[in-house]
Amino acid sequence: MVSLLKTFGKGILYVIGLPFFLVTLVLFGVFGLFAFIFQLFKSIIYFFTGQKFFPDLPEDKQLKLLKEGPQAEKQEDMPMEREVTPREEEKPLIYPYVQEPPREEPVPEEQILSRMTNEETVEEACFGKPEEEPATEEVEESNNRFEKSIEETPVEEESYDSQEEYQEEIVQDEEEEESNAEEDVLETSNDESEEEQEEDLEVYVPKSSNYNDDIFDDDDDTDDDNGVDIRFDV
Amino acid sequence: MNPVLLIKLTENDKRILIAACLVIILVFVLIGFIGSIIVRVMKWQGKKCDTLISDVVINRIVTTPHQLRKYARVKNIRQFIKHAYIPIILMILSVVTIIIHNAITKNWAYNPFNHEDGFGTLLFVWDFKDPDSYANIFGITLLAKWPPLINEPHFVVEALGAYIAIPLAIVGVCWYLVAAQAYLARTIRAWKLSKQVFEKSLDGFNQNTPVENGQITPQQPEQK
Repeated sequence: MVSLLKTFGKGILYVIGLPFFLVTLVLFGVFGLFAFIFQLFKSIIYFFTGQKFFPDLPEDKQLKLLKEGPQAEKQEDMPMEREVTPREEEKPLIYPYVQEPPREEPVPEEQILSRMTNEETVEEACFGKPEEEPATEEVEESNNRFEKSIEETPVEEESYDSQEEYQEEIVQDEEEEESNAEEDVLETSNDESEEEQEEDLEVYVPKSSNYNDDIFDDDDDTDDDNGVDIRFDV
Repeated sequence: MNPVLLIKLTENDKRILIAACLVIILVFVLIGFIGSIIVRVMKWQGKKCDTLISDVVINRIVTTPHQLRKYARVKNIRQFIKHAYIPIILMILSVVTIIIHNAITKNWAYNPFNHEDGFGTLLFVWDFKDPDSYANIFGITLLAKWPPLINEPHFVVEALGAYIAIPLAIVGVCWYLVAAQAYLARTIRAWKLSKQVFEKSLDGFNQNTPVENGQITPQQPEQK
């Protein structure tokens, strides 16, 4: 009963206070509407300056400094930038339109020498060095026979009975050489004549024929200002 | 003799008076309940202010009531804008719908609430202007009977713009008022906190307490 009476009393107070409350509410609503419009224009400026919709207040910045240290402040000042993890920071930046040549570190001389001597081929680099197969007995035997045959074959040395025979042979050789030279000269002269003939052939002189006139003659066409007649008479 | 005291009430009049008193009490109790609910809701809405400003206060970045109020005001406005942008969009949509409707029908004097081609076509409408529904009792004109029904809910294609615009406007306005109420609640809370957080109390402090090495020695309980 007491609580009901208390509520009744509150009801009377609320009825008295209701108009004031409503007026305050409306005032706050109107003020909020103006604040909204003001913030809208402000946010357009913030958007074009690359800032947040609601930039941090000085108190918020101080709080971040307290919580995360001075690095957080620096990162926050940079607009529209994503958070960078420490690992990413170590990596070099890749610019899409500027390609720098890769940095070459000085190679020690020993390494250069080893490269020169034992440089791998592309195939070796791809598929590895081929393993040398152990030679079979048959191959070894054949190799040995080949070597022996070379050693055993006697060198045929020309022997002459007399000085006259020797001289005759020399003369014969000289005659053969001369005849060969003459043949070469003849061959060259023949080649030259052939080339000349070829040059003569290159100059094309079209022969007159009866068909040429037929091709360029449009006997069937008639100039009747109706275009070209392309009918085919079957 | 005062004529009021001379009035003799019949049994029926007494019953009517008691019923009227009960109704009035019930109405005020109901208002009291509704008011209590609104106060509770506002206290709950005001708690959001604590969340907004607690970090700065706990870390002692804000050290004066004036600083706290200033910081809380900016934070509250930002929170209000976050709450209110959807109802504002709804209200703008409502206005745009009515403008489009008026532009199509070329009728700029269109009342979207009318019961011919407005939102009123969806409502029951009674003719309270009907003079036959009223009676003159002791020189006072009172409603004597239920007025005649002039409209029953029915669909009208021409009122399509109003059917869209009016619900959007009602929802938008109510939502916006709730957001404004929350903003008011947070402001009141911030005002209270600015007084409460930096409050200094001398309860239990006695300047005559002996100080040794810069520290107050605890008082020994008196032995009886």
